[in-house]
Amino acid sequence: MSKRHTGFAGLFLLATLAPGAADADEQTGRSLYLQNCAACHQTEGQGLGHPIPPLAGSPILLGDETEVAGLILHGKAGMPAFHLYLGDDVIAAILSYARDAWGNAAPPISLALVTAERAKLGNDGFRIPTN
Amino acid sequence: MADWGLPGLTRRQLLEQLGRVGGSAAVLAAMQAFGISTASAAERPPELRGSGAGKKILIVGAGHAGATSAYELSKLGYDVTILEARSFSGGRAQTARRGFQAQEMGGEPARCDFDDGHYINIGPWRIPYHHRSTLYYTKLFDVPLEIMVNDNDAAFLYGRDVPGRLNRQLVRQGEIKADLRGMTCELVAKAAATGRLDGLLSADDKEIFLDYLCNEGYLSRQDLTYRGVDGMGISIRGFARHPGAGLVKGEGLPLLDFSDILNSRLWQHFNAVTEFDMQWTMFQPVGGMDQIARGFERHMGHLIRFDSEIERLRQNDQGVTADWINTKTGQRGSTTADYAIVTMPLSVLHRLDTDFSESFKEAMEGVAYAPVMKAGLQMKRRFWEEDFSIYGGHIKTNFDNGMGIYNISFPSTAWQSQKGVLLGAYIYGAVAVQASAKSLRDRLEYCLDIGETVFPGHYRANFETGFSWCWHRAKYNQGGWAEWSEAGRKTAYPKLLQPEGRVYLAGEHLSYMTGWQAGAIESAWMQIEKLHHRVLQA
Repeated sequence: MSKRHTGFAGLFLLATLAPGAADADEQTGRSLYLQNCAACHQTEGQGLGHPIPPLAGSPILLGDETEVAGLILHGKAGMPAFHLYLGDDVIAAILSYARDAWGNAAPPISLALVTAERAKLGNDGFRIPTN
Repeated sequence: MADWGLPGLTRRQLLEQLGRVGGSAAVLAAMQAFGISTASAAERPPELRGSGAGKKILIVGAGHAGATSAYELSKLGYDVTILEARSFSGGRAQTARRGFQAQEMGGEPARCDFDDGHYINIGPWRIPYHHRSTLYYTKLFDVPLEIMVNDNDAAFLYGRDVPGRLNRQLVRQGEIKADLRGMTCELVAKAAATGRLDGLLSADDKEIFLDYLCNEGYLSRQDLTYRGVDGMGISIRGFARHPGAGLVKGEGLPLLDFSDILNSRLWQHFNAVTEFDMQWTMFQPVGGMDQIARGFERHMGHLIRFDSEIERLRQNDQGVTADWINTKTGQRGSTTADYAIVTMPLSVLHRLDTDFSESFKEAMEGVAYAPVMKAGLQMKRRFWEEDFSIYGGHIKTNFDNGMGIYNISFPSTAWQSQKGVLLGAYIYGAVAVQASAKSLRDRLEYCLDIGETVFPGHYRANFETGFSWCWHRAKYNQGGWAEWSEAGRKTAYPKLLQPEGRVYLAGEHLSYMTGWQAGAIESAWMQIEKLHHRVLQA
């Protein structure tokens, strides 16, 4: 479990420390977005119509930082709960990218904020599905 | 007719008589008095009396929750209509076979091209013995079952990039289990024998404990050592050369190294079948899981209006009205009823145009859904049986599927026939999301790469055609099953169990057996009982 949460830590750290960090951040964020979100939200955040609305101008994505971080961690309204699968660094990178892509212009989400949100989860009753 | 206490009356006969007189509550009370554990919370439908004649019930969704509700309520005389968005019933309890066509949201049209007679269960695929509710309907509807081999000691474990000598080795699970058990017993036995467990065990118990450890781990009683052989010196864990006729005594396989086993972490797979939900052998319907839906259809299929996607739901103190569109013809219409049972997954239902209260709408949003992908791969030869003597069960690897486990599962049907469809992927979470972003062809390549690593020279060479399906991209499902958090169970869940006006919800999401067919069936039983009592009291 702990391994999974830090699976991308090296990659992300490297990206943030390298010169031209802003570009690298964006690249990392985009590639993580494509990998983990695009199957449903599509490559340019255009969504899939009624069931999955677009991310450009999305009030939830661009709204309260803790709420949007909580949404990725806990899931909501049928969206998966990613806290079992994605590390805090990955979630922060993806959110920061999406909040600044496709005409969006919201400030980035910090790793510390995601970590603090995860800590609120406590024992949330999730278990590895085995059906 | 026998009296209650008459000898010769079996427990079951007594319970059946009690049921007739006192209903399900009396039966449950008696069973508890007998000390019988009722596995599923409910093992048969509620015993409902009185008539529903003259009352109309609208059901949305012809999965197991909807079909169960329709079947049971129509028996009571209710006038039942089911709106089903798809052109077939069964919901997620679905089977892909030749000609099966489907298209994910944002995806390419997919078509299953397996040979006739071959299939993959793209939804649920195994039934535990204690899901009495599911087994109630398979028996009632004459849906034949067969054994599904859910764990097989002859199937391999495979660790990629693990420390030690088990790295990238194919090892039969039974070998690792035997050595792990034997070596653990040896350690504990030696600790006990040298007094290191004194104070934890009485002197009398210590001797029996040592007997137990020697028996459990095949230890020599003389030196408390595990050698992987029984009292006759014959291997208990497999042979490099099998015993045979004449002078062929057989040659046992060498023991694995304890440290290698520990470091491989392949032992993490072994607690899976010890979960209550999982058994070494389970059940599957002969011919595919969709045979349960066919069974329901034989008894209530005439109540289903297919291709009817609900667009809007409204209610007042007189009844409920659903506006729907026929997805084939584009024709729109309305259906009105006294009450409705809505079985759509919450992931889809929360977006339906309804006049539900704000608090009910909020509750419907309070749950996550699991991303799930399955892929079936048709192989032209059952190499796992013919070349490796693996009949059913799962190859368990440490290829990441988000849970550190990636299984390849073999069909528990048509043993020793020519071809077979294996389950090349059953993945959850972020890995399922990632795989689902690939094209259909690339998904199969992803599965084949993994399989080829485990079975080099066999997997790709035998592959013919495959079919993958992602429930989180299915328009009418948007997820494999509901994933309730503890907080959601406390806040949203209780609200959804209550009717919203004249509308009752049902489905696996309203059970503690999420993702299981039994959850859908038993939630329907729960809701129709409430609904029927309300009708009788009105």
